[in-house]
Amino acid sequence: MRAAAFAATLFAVTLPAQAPTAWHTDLDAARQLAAQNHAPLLVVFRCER
Amino acid sequence: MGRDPEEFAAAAAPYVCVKITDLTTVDIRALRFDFDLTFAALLMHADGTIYHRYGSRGPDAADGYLSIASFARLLRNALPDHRAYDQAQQPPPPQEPLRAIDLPVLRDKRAGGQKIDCVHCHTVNDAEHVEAVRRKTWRRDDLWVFPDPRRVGIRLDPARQERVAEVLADSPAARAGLLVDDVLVALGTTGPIRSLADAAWALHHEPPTAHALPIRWRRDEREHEGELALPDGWKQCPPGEYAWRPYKWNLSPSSGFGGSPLDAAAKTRLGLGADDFAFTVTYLVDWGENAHRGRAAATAGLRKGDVLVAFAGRSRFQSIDEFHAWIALELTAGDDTELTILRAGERRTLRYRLPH
Repeated sequence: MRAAAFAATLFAVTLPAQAPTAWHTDLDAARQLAAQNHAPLLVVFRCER
Repeated sequence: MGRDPEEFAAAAAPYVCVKITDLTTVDIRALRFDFDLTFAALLMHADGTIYHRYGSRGPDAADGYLSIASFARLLRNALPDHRAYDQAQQPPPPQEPLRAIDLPVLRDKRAGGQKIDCVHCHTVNDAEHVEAVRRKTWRRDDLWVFPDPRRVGIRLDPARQERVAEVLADSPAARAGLLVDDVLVALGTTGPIRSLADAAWALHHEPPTAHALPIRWRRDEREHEGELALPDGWKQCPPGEYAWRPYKWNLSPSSGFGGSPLDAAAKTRLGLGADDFAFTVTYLVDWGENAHRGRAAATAGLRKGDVLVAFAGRSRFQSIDEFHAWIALELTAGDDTELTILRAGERRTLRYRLPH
């Protein structure tokens, strides 16, 4: 699985109940949300060059 | 994909997930990783503390260390790290953010009217390299970015990336007493190590002149500590292992031209063996700040359409990327070399002074 295919799999992931993994695109907003919820952040960089 | 999607979704559920495909506004002073990669992940606290990195590759396959299972495993294993940190936070010292688009080289390009639609990850390396050369702070050893732990004798397990899968004979790790199945805990001041990217990050920050690196590992539930004795040039790797890195395009010397590999049928037509290295020259670098390189190749007599079969007497390369990496790592600007080419079926040798 090349990086592109790996990323595509990751970003398309859904739970069996069809609740998709929510991928934020605004890092600052995501940090605020993580701080409020004491949640860790997962920041994925996917270069599509 | 089997259970992969479910496994990842479950492991990612406790996290606030962010996907970034353009570094333009990213603070690259705070969020650093191996910018040669096309996929990288940071596991971090909202205050900017980075717990772990993921996404590195070994010298062989681009995806050798990428799997949903290993990524999900890291996400699960990092949760205790987050909970412990969240109870006793030590935010990184405040520093002035630096958006990638504001790197001096990119700022100058924009000031010159160039439109930059997207800052790619490797663009950060390119821009930082140019700036360091301008400021005369770049040193040749700086090219050895994010060394693979094999440089100290450790091959990590792609599935459980903190596990030692192999200890290379006669290496610093072997001399320090590491064994297969040991679990890396810390390298230098970086720990816990939970991924290949964590290990590469730790090694990246050790100076090339370092001769000792503390290491901790776990074996049979007991933690051990020792020291890796690093030889001179410990960060260096062969061109074949460096070949995948876009960073090589920043280096000097460089061929000044490139092209596409010949397929088997084309090789046969030219009387070459299937394993012979050969590529058709499809471009001479005649643009940008390195146009002098293409001019040097043209002056030597090279033309688009020529088939290159040897450079400086060497005709064994695994790939065109290795060819370019070999020139950058092994040769010196100003070297008098020879290009061996086929033109209209005739073998010719061109004298070529390698440009800077």
